[in-house]
Amino acid sequence: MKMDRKWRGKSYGGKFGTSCFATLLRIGMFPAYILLIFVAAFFVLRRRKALEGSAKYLELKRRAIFPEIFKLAYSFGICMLDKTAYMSGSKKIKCEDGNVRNTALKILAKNNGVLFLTAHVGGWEMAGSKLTEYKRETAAIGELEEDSEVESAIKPSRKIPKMKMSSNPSDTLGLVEAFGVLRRGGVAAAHGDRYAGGRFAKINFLGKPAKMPLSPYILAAKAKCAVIPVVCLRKKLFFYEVEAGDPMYPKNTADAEKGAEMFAKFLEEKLDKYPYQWFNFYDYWD
Amino acid sequence: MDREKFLSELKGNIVGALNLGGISTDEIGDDSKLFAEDGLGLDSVDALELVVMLESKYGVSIDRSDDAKSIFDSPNTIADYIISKGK
Repeated sequence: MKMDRKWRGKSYGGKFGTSCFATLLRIGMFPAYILLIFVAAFFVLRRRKALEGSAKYLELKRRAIFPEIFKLAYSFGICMLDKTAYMSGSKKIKCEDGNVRNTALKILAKNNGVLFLTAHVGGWEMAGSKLTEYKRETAAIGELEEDSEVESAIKPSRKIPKMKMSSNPSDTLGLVEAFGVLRRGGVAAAHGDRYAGGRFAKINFLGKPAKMPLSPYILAAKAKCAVIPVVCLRKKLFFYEVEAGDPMYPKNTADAEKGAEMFAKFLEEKLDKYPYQWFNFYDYWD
Repeated sequence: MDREKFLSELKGNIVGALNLGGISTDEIGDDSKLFAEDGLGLDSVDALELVVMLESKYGVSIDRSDDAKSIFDSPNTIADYIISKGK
């Protein structure tokens, strides 16, 4: 296992982006979707640096031409709009997680914790807001700052789970809280597709080695809990569904790399069907 | 209790739990910053290992990251915590 403290990525859609989307949504969903065409075009033309990473991703899927990059940017905008509407309490946007819930509840019924391992796909934040529906202690290892920005930009009527730790790579004690929650049979969530410092392994992803974080699997091994890989995909207009892979039960640190390989394979399968819903706008393979 | 002996044993348990094979306990000062980059440079996974080690070796548990921040500052602060729990 190697350690590295660098993350040179950038997250888009923070407070300013969310405020803009909230403003657009006041006009209505469909008008917002239409206006988004121009926003996405602007993004593609004026944020070339951000989209270099996306171009590399699409290149690996043999689709790196302008219309494809625009589709990715537009898809991101749609998910941002939908997320903003959903978190504001819109009943138009549906996010279903029935199958995942059944799997998770069976595990929780045995007093084992569940770590949902997700990716920056589709409506991942909407899925995150459903963690509270398990009525268990909750912890999220994620973009604390980004969700704070969402909360300050809109007044979410759907509860965003209280983040119990920061994703700040300099916060080296961030896993301790999640560990406690999982050991007490709670639920936690982490991203498996964004390396932001700490332990990693180079895993083959879309044909090239990429750094994937190992800490979620090590956390699960220490807490003796299940890891359920999940993604929240936009299946059709206004409808999202959370899909899950088979639960993993890492037993020791050595299983962490196997876990990362399984997650990479799971994510590849989903991106094969929904290539325009992965939103890591940086060179993932750098 | 002999604090020096206790600290020496604690450092040995830290080295063992974290597989710090290249470091001897003598190289770890009582006030060495465990998580600082200019200290031992431990990471979040090491923090988990320390939590597990404290439970198994000393019977004390830590569940909150806020508590862990102050407790895991140095071998001295860990020792203080263990002693405060009457272990």
